Amino acid sequence: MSPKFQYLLLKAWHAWIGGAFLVAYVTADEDTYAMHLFAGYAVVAAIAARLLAGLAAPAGGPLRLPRPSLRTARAWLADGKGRHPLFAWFAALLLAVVGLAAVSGALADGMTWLEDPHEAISEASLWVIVGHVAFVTFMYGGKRLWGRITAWLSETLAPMTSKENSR
Amino acid sequence: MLGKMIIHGLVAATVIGAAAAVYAQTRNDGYASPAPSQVSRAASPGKAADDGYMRPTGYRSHERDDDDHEHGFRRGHERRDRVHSDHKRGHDRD
Repeated sequence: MSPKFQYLLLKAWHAWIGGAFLVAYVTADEDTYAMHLFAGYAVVAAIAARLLAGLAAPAGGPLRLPRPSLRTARAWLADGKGRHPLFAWFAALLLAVVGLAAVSGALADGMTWLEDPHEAISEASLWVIVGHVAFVTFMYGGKRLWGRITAWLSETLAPMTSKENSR
Repeated sequence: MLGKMIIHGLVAATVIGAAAAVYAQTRNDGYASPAPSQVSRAASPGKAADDGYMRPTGYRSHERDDDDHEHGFRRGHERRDRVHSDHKRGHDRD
């Protein structure tokens, strides 16, 4: 399987779990319980598929499961080279939290005491998702925007400082 | 790239939402919401009189007033049993 195809599968999986989580979160009310159930099981299936794909994927491929490590994070902090370690940390945390929310929801059908933990984990997972989106937006879009802002500032401030220096 | 990912996610949400809606309809005999099966006239002679008002029924209906506005999730999960028991009751009546 080519890396390009693996990336395509990863994108499709990302859309699948994102869409399923969104539907499950929005339909958490009692009036749409059957839809919530369906979307929740779609999330469980997505997590299971991702774990299986991660185990079966060749080493070094994009479908491999994220493996965050403190050593890599320290090395990145020291020299700033390579991929930002927060990508792997966020991916692992999201898989864990969203998976836990989905599995606890599925089990809550039989074990009613799991309903409150399921609700709490779901709320927590939403904040992890918000953090993930904010981080990725900053890394891909925010950095560029920040670069433009600093470039504009240096362009506008440079003539002013040179005038002051000439005085 | 980010915009594309958001669009892909929204398309997936639409597809899953549509499939979930179809599933909900088939499960509830054509109703997107199981609400119509939850309320029924309290017609049994041992309970309240049939005064024309719709009353919620179900084995936990006495608990619902306490935390009705707080625990949407809990009510959702409990509801499955209520809906099933209501369906059963409907079949018994027939």
